[in-house]
Amino acid sequence: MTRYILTRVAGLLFVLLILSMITFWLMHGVPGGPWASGQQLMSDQQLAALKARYGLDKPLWQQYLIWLGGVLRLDFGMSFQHPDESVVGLIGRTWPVTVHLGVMTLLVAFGVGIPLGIVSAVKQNTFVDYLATMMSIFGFVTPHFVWGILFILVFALYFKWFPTGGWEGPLYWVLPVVAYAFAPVAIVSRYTRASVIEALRADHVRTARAKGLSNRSVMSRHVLRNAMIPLVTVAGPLIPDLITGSIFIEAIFRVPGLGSYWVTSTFSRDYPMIIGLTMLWAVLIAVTYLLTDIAYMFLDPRVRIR
Amino acid sequence: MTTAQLELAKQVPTHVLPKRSLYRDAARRFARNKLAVIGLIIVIGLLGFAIFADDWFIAPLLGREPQPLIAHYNYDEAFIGPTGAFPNSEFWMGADLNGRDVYSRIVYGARISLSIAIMSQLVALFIGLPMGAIAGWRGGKTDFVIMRFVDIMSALPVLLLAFLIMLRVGASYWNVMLAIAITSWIEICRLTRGQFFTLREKEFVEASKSVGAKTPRIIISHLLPNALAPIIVSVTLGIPRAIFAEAALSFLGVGINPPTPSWGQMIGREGIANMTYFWHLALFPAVMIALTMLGFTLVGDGLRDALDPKMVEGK
Amino acid sequence: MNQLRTRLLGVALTATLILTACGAPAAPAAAPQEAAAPSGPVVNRAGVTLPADAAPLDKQVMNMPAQEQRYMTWDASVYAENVGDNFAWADSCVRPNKDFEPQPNACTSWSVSDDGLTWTFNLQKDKVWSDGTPITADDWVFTLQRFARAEYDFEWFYGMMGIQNWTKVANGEVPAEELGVKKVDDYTFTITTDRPTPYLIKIMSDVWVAPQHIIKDRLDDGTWALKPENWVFAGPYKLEAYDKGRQLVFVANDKYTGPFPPLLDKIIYKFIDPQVRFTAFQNGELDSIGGEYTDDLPPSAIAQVMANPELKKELITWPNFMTYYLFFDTWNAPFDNLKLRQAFSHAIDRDKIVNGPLQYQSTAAYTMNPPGFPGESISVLKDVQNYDPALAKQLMAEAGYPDGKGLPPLTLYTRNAFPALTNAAEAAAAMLNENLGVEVQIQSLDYDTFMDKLRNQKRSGSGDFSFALVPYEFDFVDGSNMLGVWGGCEPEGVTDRGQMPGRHTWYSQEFNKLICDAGQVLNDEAKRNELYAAAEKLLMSDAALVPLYHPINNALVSHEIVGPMFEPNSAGQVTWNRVRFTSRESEIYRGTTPRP
Repeated sequence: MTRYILTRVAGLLFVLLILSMITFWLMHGVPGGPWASGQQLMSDQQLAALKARYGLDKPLWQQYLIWLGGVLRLDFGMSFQHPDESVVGLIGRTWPVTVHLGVMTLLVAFGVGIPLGIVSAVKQNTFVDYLATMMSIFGFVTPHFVWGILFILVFALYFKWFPTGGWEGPLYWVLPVVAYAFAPVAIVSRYTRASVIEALRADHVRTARAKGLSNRSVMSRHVLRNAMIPLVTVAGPLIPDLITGSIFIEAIFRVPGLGSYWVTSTFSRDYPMIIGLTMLWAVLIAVTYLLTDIAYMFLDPRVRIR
Repeated sequence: MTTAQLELAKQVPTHVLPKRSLYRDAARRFARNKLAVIGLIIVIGLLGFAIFADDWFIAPLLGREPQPLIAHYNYDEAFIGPTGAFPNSEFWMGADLNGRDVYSRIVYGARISLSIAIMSQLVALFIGLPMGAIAGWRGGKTDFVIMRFVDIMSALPVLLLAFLIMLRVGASYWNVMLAIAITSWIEICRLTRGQFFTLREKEFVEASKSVGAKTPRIIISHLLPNALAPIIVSVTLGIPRAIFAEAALSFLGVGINPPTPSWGQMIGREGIANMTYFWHLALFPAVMIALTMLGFTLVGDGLRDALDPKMVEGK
Repeated sequence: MNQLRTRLLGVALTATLILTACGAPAAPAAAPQEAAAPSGPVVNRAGVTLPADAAPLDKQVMNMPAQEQRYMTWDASVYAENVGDNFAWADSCVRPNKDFEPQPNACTSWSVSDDGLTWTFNLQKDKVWSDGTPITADDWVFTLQRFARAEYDFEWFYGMMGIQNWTKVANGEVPAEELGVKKVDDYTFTITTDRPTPYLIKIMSDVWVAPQHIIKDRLDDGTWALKPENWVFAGPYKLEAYDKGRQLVFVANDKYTGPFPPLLDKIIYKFIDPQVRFTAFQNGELDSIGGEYTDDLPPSAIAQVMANPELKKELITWPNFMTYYLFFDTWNAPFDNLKLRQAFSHAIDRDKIVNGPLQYQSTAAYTMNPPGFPGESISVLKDVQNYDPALAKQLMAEAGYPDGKGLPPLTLYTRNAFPALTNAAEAAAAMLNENLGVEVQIQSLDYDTFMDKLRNQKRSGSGDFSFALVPYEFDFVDGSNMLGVWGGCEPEGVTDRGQMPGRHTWYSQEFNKLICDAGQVLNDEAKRNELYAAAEKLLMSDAALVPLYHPINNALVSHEIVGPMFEPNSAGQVTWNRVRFTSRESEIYRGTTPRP
């Protein structure tokens, strides 16, 4: 087991290296630069001076090595869009908020989605199933930014139950989390439903039932355990997704988190931030997948890693 | 059995029989599933919108440009209605801020949105399925290598990179489609691999092996139909997700270029910004996306139920 | 819990008793109660007495929206500086009044030598920074030297003053001390130019003094203002707090001694996404939205405002000196063909755009100079590019593309397009399609990518950026400004047209001569404007551009905000905006009766 984890970590580092090279190459290939352009064209001297200031006049491989050297000292450089903050500091300031939002959304997603899916599966093709299916489809279908604006219009402006935005206290959390959770709830419930149905029909479940085991014991010991496997695969990407934030939700609800930096960094060519965010994302994803695979091993004892 | 019958039976390759009756049974089961049929009707309706928006199939024969068929006007005919007109008898879905008929744009939009969504998922399937199958079946080193490659691909923050790529190569129909395909295949690959991992150990695989069936045959006739169920769900859910991805890219300005309409673009550009008053600009594309989702999901569910060989008749 | 509360209450009571006991003995015992009506005039924390109809002090707060940017001050960056209302807390040499005429501010008087080359500025003597340091000529000289840096994104603007050695200092060829800005004594400095620049004084309204004692010699440091310990201010307001990601809080500056004292006690700039600003305004979280550079009021918001009499009363509208135009790459095919460009210029019905997708937000444009701008001659030029589809078709045929045949599908690039702008582009494309049979696709590029492409096109003549829609907004109110986009005085010894002045790939030696000559005419506005009119005629006849519209700005300001700001200028306009027009913050306060 330990060996397996170590191998995976080594693999992760390798992945990060390749990923950083790809990202570096891609982002420097986009025209423009981290300076703010004005209405008039820049003179050649101006362009040269700006490039020198940001260290962009060096050849690409050299810039990359400089960056890599910094990373090995855990220094990801200063952000271009907030020149007085380091990338690490900026992420440290804004990410906790996003994680907070993401974790709450995840709790809602699983807390509502799994029971919904199980109920749908157990009462398949009944009215309850249809209702649950329609609700989750409905939630999934509309992009969450539409939900966000709709919620603000209805619940914040019209009913005045909630504030229109900000992140000051529990009351501020409700609308963004609900808007953001619609789609994950739908995904989780759909997959739960599908895999529970699968598992319900499995031979060993029929056997268990034939043996006379109670429904509850059949469900928990045989059905749910196996149903969780594909769910784990699907939940995997959900987690890093939610934890790195939604640019739309954070923009619309004025959540002071990391989400908005995905787009602003690209638009303002904040290269250190872009790479920093990419690395963060990659680490999150890889760790999540590692945990997913470990979960597989626990959930399905028949899976052997050869 | 008579000798003749035995001879006949020997000539029929054994792997054909289960497959043929599986799919024929599946079709029958599908047809009996009311919801699935509704879904199929919706999907066919949407495809009809997409195909018959104008008469492109006759026009070349008649030597003229395609004229709108189901649509009332061409999608880029501007100033035929009052700016931002609300739905009325002449403009069924109202007019947009350029005086264009929203209904016509929706109909043409079906073509763009659906084609991108479907094609991107097919491409994703084409890439992800074989890779996942091989990884799951063989395990060991092959699995390791493939999964590390998948790790790299999936470690790319999708939106960010699609964005960067778009900024560099420019937004266009094919770029958008490929960008979405690239982000979709990973999940299918993982899902397939997961399924194969589990199914590999199942009893009927052992049984088939003991009978002497060869690997490809096992994969195709036994594993795939069983592994297909979540994959089908994934692909069907992937189609509206692709539409949403295209909307997000259009929202950020790197999607389909106007004046070509796509539902995502209509929401993302005019729709959201003007939602508080010109509600019809966002509502109708959103409804169309909802309908598409509904249709494909019902069809997907129906397919899954129909293809499940363990399903007992008349449960 | 209860114990704690009782204890706190006890402490509070004791404290009150002690404080009132030690209070001013002579004053009557009336400690101000909320119930009593405001008894005296309202005085803000800078000691300024507000007019009689002002609301109580705690209400003299105004909430405005802003976009969080990299830098804090104008001298670090103009395009990426936090909060545009620079003029609230920085101070300029002169300030334009409502009719755009420069009025004394930190510079109490100025004069220009007979040859027009040397300007002398006299400074207000008792002006200090908010930390007490006097503001002297040293600071002003330092400021202009600081602007003359190549990497400063507004260097090109101040370069238009034509100060001696400006370009050399900016390029680092000579030290900053050689700049033609010299201190005479502590409260006088001079500016010397290479050529007479009559509009120099107008540019001085954008020179915001930077603190030399803080920045010292870190000339290229733009981050000085991000550190709270460096916060010194010369204007009517000073920064109290910078809540990263949330807001900026400004309060009245008690050390301000200039001609524009602050009225509001506090101004809060909240970082709110433009999409939800209208909602925030309706919710009372913002007191003003809209204005320039913003998409706060999309067509749906405007429609709602027009339909709602209450909101409509809070709407302020004024035209902006800005032009949105289509331009061509005239140095490459297909737009090197004059007739093709002219065909395009006659094929677009601006009225449809202005009454359609951009209703209430624009007026039709037929020239580069907007109405009311010095040097404009719209009454004469507006028919040069009038809407005439028949003529357009004919020109198209003459150009070699009858009915659009033979012309490849075009891509119309837009810059940083908010939805309404894309609509305008689509409208233009639709009309080109209908009238000329030309196929056009719209592609939106972000600001940097667009400007990068534009730059490459001009410098290296690469031909893949042939058709685009872009605005230009005035920088100062002078005839040389807008037309300066297309040319200017040609630098010595330069033959490569990629290095010629102007930002587009269009070149006309005659045009450049006219502009350059006009720039040197002293004391004869009529003659200058004549020359500018001739230059513009050339520009429009050559169809270097196809102007589409001039934006109208719309802003919503809560009716509780009143003040001299809202009196119209001599053209009948109230120009509520962030662009350097008036000393807005010194002319508004929260009143007790709503604005009419």
